Amino acid sequence: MKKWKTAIKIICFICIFAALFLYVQEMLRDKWAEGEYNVTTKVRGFYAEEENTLDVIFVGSSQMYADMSPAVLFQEYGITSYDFCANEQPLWISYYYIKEALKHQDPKVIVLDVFTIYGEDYEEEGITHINLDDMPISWNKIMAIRDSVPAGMRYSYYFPLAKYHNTWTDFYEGKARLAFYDQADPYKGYSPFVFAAQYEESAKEEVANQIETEPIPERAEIWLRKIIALCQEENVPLVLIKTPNGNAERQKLYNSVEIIADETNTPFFNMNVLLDGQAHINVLQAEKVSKMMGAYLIEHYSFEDKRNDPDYERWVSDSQLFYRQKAKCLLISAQNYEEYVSLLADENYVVCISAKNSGKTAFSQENIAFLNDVLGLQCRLDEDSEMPYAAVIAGGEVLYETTDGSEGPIVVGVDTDGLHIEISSPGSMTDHQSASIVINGTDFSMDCDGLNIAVYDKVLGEMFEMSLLDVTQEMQIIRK
Amino acid sequence: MDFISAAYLAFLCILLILYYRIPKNRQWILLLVFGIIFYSCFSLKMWVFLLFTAVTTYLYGRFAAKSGKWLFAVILLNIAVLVGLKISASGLGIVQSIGLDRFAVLVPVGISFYTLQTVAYMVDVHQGKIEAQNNFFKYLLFVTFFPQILQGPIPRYEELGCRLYEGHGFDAENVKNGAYLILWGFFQKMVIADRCNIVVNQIFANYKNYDGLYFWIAGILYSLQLYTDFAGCVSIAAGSARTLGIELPQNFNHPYFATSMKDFWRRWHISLSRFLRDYIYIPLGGNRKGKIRKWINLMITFTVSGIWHGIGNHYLVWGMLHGFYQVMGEILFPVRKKMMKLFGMENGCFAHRLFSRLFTCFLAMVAWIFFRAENTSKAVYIVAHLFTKWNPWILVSGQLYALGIKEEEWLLLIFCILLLIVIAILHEKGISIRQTFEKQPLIFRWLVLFTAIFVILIAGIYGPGYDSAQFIYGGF
Repeated sequence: MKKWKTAIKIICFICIFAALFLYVQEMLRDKWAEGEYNVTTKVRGFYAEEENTLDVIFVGSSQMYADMSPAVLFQEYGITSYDFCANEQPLWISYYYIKEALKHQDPKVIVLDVFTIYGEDYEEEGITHINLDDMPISWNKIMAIRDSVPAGMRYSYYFPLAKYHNTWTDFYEGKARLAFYDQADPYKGYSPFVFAAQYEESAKEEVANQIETEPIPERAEIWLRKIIALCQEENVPLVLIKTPNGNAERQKLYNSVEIIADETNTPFFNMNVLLDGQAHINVLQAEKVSKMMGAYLIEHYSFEDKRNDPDYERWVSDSQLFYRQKAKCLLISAQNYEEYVSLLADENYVVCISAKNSGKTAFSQENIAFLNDVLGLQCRLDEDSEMPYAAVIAGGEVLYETTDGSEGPIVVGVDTDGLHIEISSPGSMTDHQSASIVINGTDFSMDCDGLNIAVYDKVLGEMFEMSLLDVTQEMQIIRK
Repeated sequence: MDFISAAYLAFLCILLILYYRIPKNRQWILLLVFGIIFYSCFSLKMWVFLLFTAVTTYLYGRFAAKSGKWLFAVILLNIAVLVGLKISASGLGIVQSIGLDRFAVLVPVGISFYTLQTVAYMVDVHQGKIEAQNNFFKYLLFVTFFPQILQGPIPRYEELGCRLYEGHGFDAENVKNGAYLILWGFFQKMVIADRCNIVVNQIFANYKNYDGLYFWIAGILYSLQLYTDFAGCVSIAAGSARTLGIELPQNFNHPYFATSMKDFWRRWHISLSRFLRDYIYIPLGGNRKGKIRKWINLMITFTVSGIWHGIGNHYLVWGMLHGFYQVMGEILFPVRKKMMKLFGMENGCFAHRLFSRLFTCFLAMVAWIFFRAENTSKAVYIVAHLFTKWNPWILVSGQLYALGIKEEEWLLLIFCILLLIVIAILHEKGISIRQTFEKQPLIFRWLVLFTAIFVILIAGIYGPGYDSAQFIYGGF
């Protein structure tokens, strides 16, 4: 009896220890959920997808998740897809990502980006952790660790607490909040890179005309062939691609990939020689790449159009996020007054305007008329350039606007869409008053002469634009 | 196989499962097999030296002990192997010039400990205190008993031998108490010693950049590091042995609570002190041949202790310094008495004890600086600069956070030091923490145990990114 009591105690102790260990480990483990390189939300998000709902699974590095938008594929072609990728993912990890993908989904096509075909040795520790830490423990993960980490170092991948325990001094709320993260990713693994950039219509000449080849490192070649064999075994069509990164030197390696692709009868769609690009392209170029990819897939494989399928309703709303990012990218890329003001006329924006004119420069009638016309305002700054002026436009409606001249600076308060907005406009009376646009306690105004503008996107739920239409420089757009 | 590893814990668990499943009269064989596996994990080549010592001392005990003819020859032979290998690993210029350094990599783990252990065995057999062991494999188990081979303690045959061979039935109390000791050892080593090590390394490696209070901090933390490192390892060793039903001799008794250097050596590395007393100091004449001879004997004994710890003039100076402390302690005894009378301080009062303890700690710290520094000139520089600059502002200016550990870690370290002091006070007062702990309800005990385990797992220094220091005494 005593023996049994002791045995039960030992078992209970071990079980409680194991549960606490897993909890503490997950709490302290580094997560990647902020910014564009949010691998945690992408990888964990993949496992949160409903089983057997994805037509296409994209596997590869960050170049894949920056370029391939599942939202575009859905909106344009009715294809459901996911970027099941992680930073600088070596091919030996891609192999296990594909295995994991096939465990949960029954895709019609697997698309692999061959960016990391340069890999000849174990990746640096950080990259391997980013790639493997969010993968739930499974036989595939154990094998992935075995093939990705030198012996003697593997224990910190099986038990990440060994790696991250020392981060207790930097423990923060966000890290704890992301423990056991199991939310679906509305971007489906895609990362919107929002920045202004100029891309050529097609690939740069030195890339498109690169005909040289470079030997593929042995380790990378072995794993590329293993991936091809795996997909053949599993009877899932594999498409090798290279997203456009504008790298002529690396194109030599991609030419060598083409040889292996031909040899193994694997399609290789090299967009690097078709489109201009960079390491991580912006949302606008990503839309182009995704459309091109979609057209290729539609041409070579058959998919059921799911756009009107009620089971995929969520995909419709989720894909809107991409188009909001596109709108944001367009706005921050706009170069002239007319284009900029036209883009402000968006029902999903809350636009706040505050005028300042310490130099008493005249606003042109033409510019103000265009502003009024496009945004539905009744601004009279062309008649009285020195008057204080503030406006708030939300969902295409003018919530507040200064319509009459004022003796002194004005301060107005507006509540909309969960925002408390306080705008002050001094007009030309700038001695005791600045132009401010305070939203939920933070000032987003540039406080310069002209129309100070702050833009909030209701769908994305973020302030993203602080700009000035500079009256002293013919309404040139100045951004912070 | 490092004590601080999951592999060691798995090794111990497997041994325990097998140990309590086989007949008691076979348990010693299993211990020997596991001892061989444990030792082989370090290097197979080391077996050459270990077997040499085991065979020669066994043969002496078995066939030559009664005549005593070969005693000095066998002792010298084994000491020569120990010293030779130590010299080869010392990196001294002369060693390199004659090509001895090629053997440096071969210094067997625990050689200092098992050599002393076997020397004591031979002397005891010769003096008729114990019977020689007839079975070589049983003797080999005594030499290679894995919990204590790395860093001691240095047990005598009469203490350990019979316990190894008699066989033990499963006793949950033994396993539990052993586990507590192992946990305590892990805590001391991983949370305290290795954290101190970061600061100590930073200051000693860049000593020219520091001054004044920095050296006090380095000295205090090194004293603490050495104690928690060594005591931590011994605690793991004692805990491992306890789970098997075997008790190892106590090796520490709160040495920094000593009120004199004499008292310090009664509390620090007790098994070594005992060896030095019984096999060097007393045979030299001890205190039986007059004061001057006693002082000479003390100096010789501590000089041997210094050499035993390593080849290098700083070890020698460290040993001689301790000899000097002992001699001066005796010479200045009347002066000390007069001083106490002058200040109206009663012997044994709180102030007297406190002052004595602090002064003893200071003397030990100065000696440890010689022990830690790579050479004497560096140690002299550091000791001299303890007093050359008054820079107490470093305690509050944030400069301490540039020594390799963050603010939160300093707070943790201070908390751990306070915890060590409280535990030591309770022990000194004769309060058994373990007994008090055992009387508490199960839920409380488990709460404390889980907290301890997770403090070690979270705040311990280990894993990639850390070059966790090996046990310091493992190198001796």
